[in-house]
Amino acid sequence: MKTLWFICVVIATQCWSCNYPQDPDHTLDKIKNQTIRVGISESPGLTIVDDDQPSGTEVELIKGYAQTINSQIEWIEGSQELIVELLKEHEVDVAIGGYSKQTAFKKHIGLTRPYKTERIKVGATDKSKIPDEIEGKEIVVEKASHALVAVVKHKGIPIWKDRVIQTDGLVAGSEEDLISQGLFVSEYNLGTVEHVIAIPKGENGLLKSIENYILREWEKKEIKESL
Amino acid sequence: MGEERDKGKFINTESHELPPAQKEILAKGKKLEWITIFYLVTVIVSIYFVLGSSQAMKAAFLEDVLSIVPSVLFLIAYFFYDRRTPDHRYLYGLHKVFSVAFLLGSFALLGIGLFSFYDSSIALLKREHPTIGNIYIFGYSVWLGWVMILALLWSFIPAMILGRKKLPIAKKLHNKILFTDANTQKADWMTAGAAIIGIIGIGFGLWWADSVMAILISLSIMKDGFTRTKGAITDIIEQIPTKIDKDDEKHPLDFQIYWFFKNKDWVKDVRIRLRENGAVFFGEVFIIPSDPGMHADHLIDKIEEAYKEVRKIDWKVHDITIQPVKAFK
Repeated sequence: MKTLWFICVVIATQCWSCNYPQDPDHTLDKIKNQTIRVGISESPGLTIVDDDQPSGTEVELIKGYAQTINSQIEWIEGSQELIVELLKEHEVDVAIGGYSKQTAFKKHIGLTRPYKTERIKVGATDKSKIPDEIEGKEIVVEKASHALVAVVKHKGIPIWKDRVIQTDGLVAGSEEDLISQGLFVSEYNLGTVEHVIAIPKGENGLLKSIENYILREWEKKEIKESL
Repeated sequence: MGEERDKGKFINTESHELPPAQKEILAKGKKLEWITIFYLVTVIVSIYFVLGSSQAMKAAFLEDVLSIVPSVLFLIAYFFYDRRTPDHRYLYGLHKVFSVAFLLGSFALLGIGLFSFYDSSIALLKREHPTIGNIYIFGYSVWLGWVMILALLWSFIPAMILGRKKLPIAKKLHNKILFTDANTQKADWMTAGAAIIGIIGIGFGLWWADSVMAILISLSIMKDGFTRTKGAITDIIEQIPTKIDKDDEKHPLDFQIYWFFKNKDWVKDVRIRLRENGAVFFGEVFIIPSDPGMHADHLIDKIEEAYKEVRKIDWKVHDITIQPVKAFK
């Protein structure tokens, strides 16, 4: 019984200290004050990979995070599939480029909490034009977008456009984009995309560290900007 | 159909009445089973919401889902048993519904063990590292592992109490399905305990702790399920009555019944045959009377008197056929 209490006390003191949970492969320890290897795949809006410096929302997020742990970033560019393989082998520490909570790779990688949830809605120039459901209705969507997937899933008839432009008909897209174009949007969602950052599976210390950044700094920053 | 035809043709076993003390125990047992079912539902719901990608959590969840089976079987068995007294259709009564429930219940236990063993071994072989995130409560980040442990504690402590309360009841009622159920609760709390250790291990960066604990749990459940299933099958193919907690040990009643007849002065020698029908025993007794010239009327009187007496040895001695013979084969 005494040894049992002893074990409990040891565990409790360990857990109260900051480095709990720990990484099985010590990723966080390795990248702190060192170099963080970031796998990056092109994903319009979120990550843009140019000749020198990548840019985009997710790039900003990772740059912000790297600052908090005082690390340099080394960019490693490749397709999502390649980057996922590198994550599995611990050859990259973090990956960005359009991963969502529903990603087909989710069995092989760890995912953070969403740093942003995109709601896909139906928009129109007039509120009365928005239908209760979109089944069998023609809807303008961007060609390569989550909105297209959502429209097809709801049995709407998609009309492809390279960019969503002002029309008299119905448009589907992320709530933000639709509102910024001055459109009225539906109450209901056609779908949601929860944007996340990918990490090696089971690196729970790193996960906690990134999630803390997302919650304490990133989300506050986002709110400030939107105001 | 044919019920008119059957009337007056058969004689069924008497309907079985538990002594008042046992009746009280039974009522307590039933109440405990209802509590168990209600409690397990709350456990299943709370674990489901914090499941995550932990292997031990998954094993604990499956364990809890399947561990409802024995309790439900016990109540279903009683439902049928209470509804139908022995009649011209069920001449031997419905005692064996408990044997059937016992078989199904033990098989469920075995199934839990096998599945959990398979699933956790695969996870270990694939070197799967469980990812456990965080939730945020009032701006504080809380590792989900702690929340999981909280849910597991709910699956730990009440299960331990319920199991301990059921065990003596099952023994007193010689009810093997209730006994299996009490053991299922033991598997429940052991699983929860091991899962807690597994999750604490993950927190220390020991990714394998989780799967290894889950495998250890599954081995113990598998062993339990196997012995119980074996016991249920041997009961159905009518091996000699055995003790409720030790399937390889004979029940002491066979000894008592043998000596009860052997000690009668009108009996020269005796052989018996016994089987378990659920919680009660049925059997045949073959007797060589000490006086071969004994008057038939007198012998029948003696036999009927002995029948009434032998049933008073224990409430479990339910139906005994006494047959006089000249010699044993």
